[in-house]
Amino acid sequence: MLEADETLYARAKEGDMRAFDALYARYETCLFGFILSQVRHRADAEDVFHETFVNALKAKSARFEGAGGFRAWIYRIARNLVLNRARSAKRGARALSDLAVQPESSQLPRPRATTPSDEAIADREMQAALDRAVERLPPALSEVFHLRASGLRYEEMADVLEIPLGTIKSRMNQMVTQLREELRPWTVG
Amino acid sequence: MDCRMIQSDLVAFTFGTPIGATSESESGNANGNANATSSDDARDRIDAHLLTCTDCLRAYLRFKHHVERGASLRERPSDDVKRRIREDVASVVRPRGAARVLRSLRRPIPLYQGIAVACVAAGIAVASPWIHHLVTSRLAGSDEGPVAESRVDTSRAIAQSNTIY
Repeated sequence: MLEADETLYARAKEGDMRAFDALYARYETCLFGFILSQVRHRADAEDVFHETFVNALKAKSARFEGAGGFRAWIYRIARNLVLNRARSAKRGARALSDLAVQPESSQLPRPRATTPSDEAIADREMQAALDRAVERLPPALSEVFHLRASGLRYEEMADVLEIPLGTIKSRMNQMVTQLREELRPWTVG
Repeated sequence: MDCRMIQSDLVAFTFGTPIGATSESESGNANGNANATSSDDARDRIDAHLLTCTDCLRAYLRFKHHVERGASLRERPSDDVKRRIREDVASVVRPRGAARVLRSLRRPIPLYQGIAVACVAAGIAVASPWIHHLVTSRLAGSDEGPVAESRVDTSRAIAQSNTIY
């Protein structure tokens, strides 16, 4: 039987490292992906990921009373660490280098014909188009994109971002509308 | 249902937002759930269509794959990071001494508890001659208690003679 995150967390807090391993495996890709999408640099993302887990296990008393339970709680820890880091590094040179590599043109290349021989190329182009579209999302919409892509429910996202559920729905609609417009050449055959 | 129509709703379908709404109507819909009923119907129709149309199913799976890649969900921290986190967490949460023994005994594996009971029984068996000896010697000691008490030498050194040399 699959144990709940909350159960694994309680066991890990008591020193059961197998429970920790199971918990880590569950969050290894989705949580790390979320952090990486927010900080952009792999080394920074690894630091934040490290801090997130250690802080979570160090927490004196953790109560998962919100709709999201453990998942929303650990995402919230990660998000707060990302925000703290962003605040302290705001004046850093790294931010400038980020701006330098952002695409200048908003003009998307036309998708190629979807004949089987061109499928791989069209795939790459669509991935690139999606990446560009996501990069152009405002930070608030980018956050909901990544949280939703990580598999979080609306209630969990509201818990993580500490905003009302209605605001989440509104942001999701805005995000989908923007992506749909930018990806129309690829999604409509 | 038209494949072209479904593919135009691919983004909304993937992210679980209302389907079939135009950008204009959505922009006027602050809560995004006013057309939830029609959206649920549309979602059901898309579900049904995906079961029968491999082209649309492939388009959906491909888009989902791109979204996961776009969200960096194919990335994972290095093994070195995992090792460091594990070490740090272990140093934070590792139980000490009796707590560790107690925790291992609490594990829901009957074998551990059986072994624990067997160890206690074996310990008693091994120690029983010594315990027997201890108990009997105590009892014997307690029999001659008053005698032993009477033999206690409470005399003090006193001068044997008052003669001064």
